[in-house]
Amino acid sequence: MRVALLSNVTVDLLADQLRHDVDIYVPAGFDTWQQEILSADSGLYEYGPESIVVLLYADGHENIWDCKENGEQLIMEWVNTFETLANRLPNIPVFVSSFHMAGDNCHYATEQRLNLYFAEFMNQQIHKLYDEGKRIYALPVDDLVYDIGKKAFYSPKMWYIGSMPYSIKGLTALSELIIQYLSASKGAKKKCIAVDLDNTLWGGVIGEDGIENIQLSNSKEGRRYKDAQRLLKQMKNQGVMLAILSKNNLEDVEPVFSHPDMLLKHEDFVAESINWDSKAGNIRQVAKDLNIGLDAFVFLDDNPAEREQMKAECPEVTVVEFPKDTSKLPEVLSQVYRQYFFRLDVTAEDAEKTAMYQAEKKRKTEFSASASPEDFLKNLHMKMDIHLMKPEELKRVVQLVNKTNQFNTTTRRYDQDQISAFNAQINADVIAVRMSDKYGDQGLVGVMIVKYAGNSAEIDTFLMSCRVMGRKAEIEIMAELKKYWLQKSIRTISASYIRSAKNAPVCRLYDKLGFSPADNSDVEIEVGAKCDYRIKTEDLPDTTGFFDCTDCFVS
Amino acid sequence: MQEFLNFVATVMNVDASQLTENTAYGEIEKWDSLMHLKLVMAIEENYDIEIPIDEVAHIKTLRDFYKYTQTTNKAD
Repeated sequence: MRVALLSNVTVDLLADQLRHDVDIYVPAGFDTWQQEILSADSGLYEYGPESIVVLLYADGHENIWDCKENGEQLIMEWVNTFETLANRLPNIPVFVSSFHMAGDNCHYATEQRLNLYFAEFMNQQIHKLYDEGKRIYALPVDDLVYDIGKKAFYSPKMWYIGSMPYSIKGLTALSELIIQYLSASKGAKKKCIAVDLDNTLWGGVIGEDGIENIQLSNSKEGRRYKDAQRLLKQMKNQGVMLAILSKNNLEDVEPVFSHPDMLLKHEDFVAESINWDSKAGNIRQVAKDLNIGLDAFVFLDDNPAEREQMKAECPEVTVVEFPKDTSKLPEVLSQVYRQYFFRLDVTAEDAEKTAMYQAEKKRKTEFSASASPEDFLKNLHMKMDIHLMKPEELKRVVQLVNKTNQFNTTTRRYDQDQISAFNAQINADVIAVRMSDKYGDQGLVGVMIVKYAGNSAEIDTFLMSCRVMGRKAEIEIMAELKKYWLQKSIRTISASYIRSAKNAPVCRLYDKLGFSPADNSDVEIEVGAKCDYRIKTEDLPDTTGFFDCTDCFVS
Repeated sequence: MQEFLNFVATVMNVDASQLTENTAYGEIEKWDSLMHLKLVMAIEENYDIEIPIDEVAHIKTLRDFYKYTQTTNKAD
């Protein structure tokens, strides 16, 4: 990965450490970070970074920090520079160090600690840019100072001799934090954490000790397990999947789920393997059910024999070294999080992942029990909501446009600014499709981008999340749009299919929807081949009858 | 002394056989001004001693560094 490291202090030693993992660009000259960003022909833009780290040491600037107004003014100047950077390189994540300073001060007892105020002020400004859609993230340097202590993190000697404020220990901690953030920009490394129950989620063995004797409480020894559960629940709320792998009798375990200090409930788990079979076999089954690889799992178990067996039989699974001293269990879990599950952004879909998975499981069960696929679809009581994209949906639309591979007719990738631009144009629509059924809300699952010229419309992009494929949703979408387009006096619709390495499932989509193809002999095989289609608006398909579309924009 | 040279070699990321107590600042490519500061920090930390700021610039050879590790100039 190509990373630019910009700073107002000397960072050569930090750059040396980071070069073990990534390619680093450091501008020439001291404290030139603002010029690098502001002049369009600087080395920064020539380098073409994939990520940018801006490390600003507040004491690096001449001391104005004892005046609130001056401090705010300088921070705003910094923030404006970040914004310029984000506008010039809109798709590049920018990691900005949290406000930090180490200089000594003489504070009287009731003095307002401005450093705390500035830290919060700057943090808010960075969050504001993020909320506006910029890929700017705060890099929590202050966490490191808390962790290892100010005296160990900084070195006044290095600062006064070499304009480098950090100690060797500080540099190591900083480089680890930066690497953690940089690798998170590629997504979390793992997807699921599989946990044991006895002596892992609570203290003791439920089958022997009974519910009144296990350790699980709000205070004293039982609290360490409650804290461990709290951390697991936080992970689950960010889209990490939790699974149980326990050798136990189901009827022994069940009462614990009603324990007042049991934070994790059935609905927090995507799978519960509670039986006497081998955990290796069980984890394979869970992987199959979840449709993820064994290498997406982290395994947590207090029993060394179970851990060894897992390592031997499923070497792809990451096995956590369980702490001998279980007062460290919460700390170990937070390390596991940072190492394997840390992510930069959490979407509404991430937060709902477990619920959606559970709903999907119920659908599958119902599908197998249904007399016919039509019966199944009828009984799902599906709802569809088609509308012009709302501002709050922009992030999800950008996410779908950039990651949908299978049900994607043209696989055109657009960034946030481009999608916003389509949405703002009079002669283009960005159409969002939401779906739900009796088992739950599937959220925003489809996107269409349409361009208009006179009486004709061109479908530039048509994609759907794979989680709703096979529901005849594509037909229903066309039926709804038919009404919309007829209202707009659109007479003909053109569309195209561009073969990618992964979109074979929609190769004949437009044929099935009644469109007439131009010459299309190559699209079956050749990646990059394109087939154009045409249809008169009135020839678009009619409703399938499987959906309640009363919320759609034309109904 | 050899243990000290071994430690310096790991900080500089060079082979210990390249170093003697007479190795001097600027003599090998790795030992530039930045490495000089890194050595000060690393030696202070590893041997729990302090090298006063005014003396840093007067350190010319590894022997000069080594002397600090033998003193009782312990860090606070």
